[in-house]
Amino acid sequence: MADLDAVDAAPTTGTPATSAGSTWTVAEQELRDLWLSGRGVAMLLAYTVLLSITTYLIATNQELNFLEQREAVSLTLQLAVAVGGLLVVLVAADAVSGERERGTLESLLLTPAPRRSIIIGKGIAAISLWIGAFALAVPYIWWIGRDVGTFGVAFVGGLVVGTLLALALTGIGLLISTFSQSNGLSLALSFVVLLALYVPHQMPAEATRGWAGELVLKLDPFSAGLLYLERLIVNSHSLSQDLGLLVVPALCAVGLPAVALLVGGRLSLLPRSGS
Amino acid sequence: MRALARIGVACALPLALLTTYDAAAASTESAIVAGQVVVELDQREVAASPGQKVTFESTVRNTGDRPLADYVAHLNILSTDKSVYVDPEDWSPKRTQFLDEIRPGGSTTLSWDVRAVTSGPILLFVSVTSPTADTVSSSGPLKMTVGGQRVVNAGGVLPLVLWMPAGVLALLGATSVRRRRHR
Repeated sequence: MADLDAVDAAPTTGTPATSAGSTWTVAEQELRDLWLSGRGVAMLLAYTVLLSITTYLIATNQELNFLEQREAVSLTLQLAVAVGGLLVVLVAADAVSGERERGTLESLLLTPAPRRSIIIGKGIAAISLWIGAFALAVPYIWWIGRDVGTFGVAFVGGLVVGTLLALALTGIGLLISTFSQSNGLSLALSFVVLLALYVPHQMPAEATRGWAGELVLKLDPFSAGLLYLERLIVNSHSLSQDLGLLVVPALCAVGLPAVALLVGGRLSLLPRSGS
Repeated sequence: MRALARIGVACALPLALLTTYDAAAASTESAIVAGQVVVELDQREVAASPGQKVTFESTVRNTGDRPLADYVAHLNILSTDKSVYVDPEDWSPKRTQFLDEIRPGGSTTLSWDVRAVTSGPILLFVSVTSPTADTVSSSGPLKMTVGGQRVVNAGGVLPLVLWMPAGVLALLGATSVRRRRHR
């Protein structure tokens, strides 16, 4: 397990490792655990299968192929960002509560690595999954939008928005995981939060009109980010035209991991229920 | 009773005439003020494809004998096909322009940028109103035909949708083999 390896890798002199050094040690172990164990690759396999099915339907199904080509690019990019966010939140939600449930958190906490280094290391591993997912989404986005010249803005917009949302979701997942006794609870709660963030963007257009509807769309980082991508690609807006929509995602991308880090400093074994 | 009815008719008739006179006067005045402003577009028809940017100009002329101050010009965008949804904000974020004073006989030219969003028959026209919004003068229509809606070309989709998961599957297999070797 990652934590046991971390114990081996930790200095044995009795003095605490430097924060940067121990952060990198934890991150390295977490990245190995995610990627070399095949867990991350298996998630990306499901991700590419989903993108392949969607792309095939967009290209061949008459109902979906009715979409204007830029709308098809927008749909694929939004799907890539949303499902990429789901993968990130699943890994982040498992980060602490998973160790706790497997009984390996205690030994991890006994290593000289500062607790915040553990949180940062686990956060880096979760973010790496988004980077892998986006790299795999690029060929699909290029293929769908190859005739309409939208690839450049779709790539830049998708990378920026997806990274902001991935950072925010990592913060949410780590926060929930830190306070959850059971891994199932952590995963379920994180998933519910993700769905709740996705709901405003799926509301009918009429429901999002007026000041209240627009406010909800702007305050919800997920909806604001996806709306930015939609306007960027479908309405051919420039990258800077709707930057206001990225304010909340950017604040969440900074604030939520910061809170998770702050709370992570007090990372502890929670008392088992019933004990 | 008859006497009362006669008095009533006698009072009502001048009042009715007075009302008719006022309406006519207002109508005449409105026509005169509206006639002070003429709005013309430099194009009548344009064809565009989705995403294409179109620029056209409107000229606002003061044909009256009074200067026009603080007038406002607004670009209207609509579709004549009820199945085509048009959100003007998507087509042109800047649709209102405030005019400088136009002296009698003078004119001013405004430039408008529009980006075609959805396919269909689109109608654009520019309206100009006074600061008190008493009158509105509009230009003739600019008929924009947005065609050539592009859909995804399905050619070559199979290699992409099959090889991408296959590549990741191969990677998963490689990590699995590596893991077994390290045990």
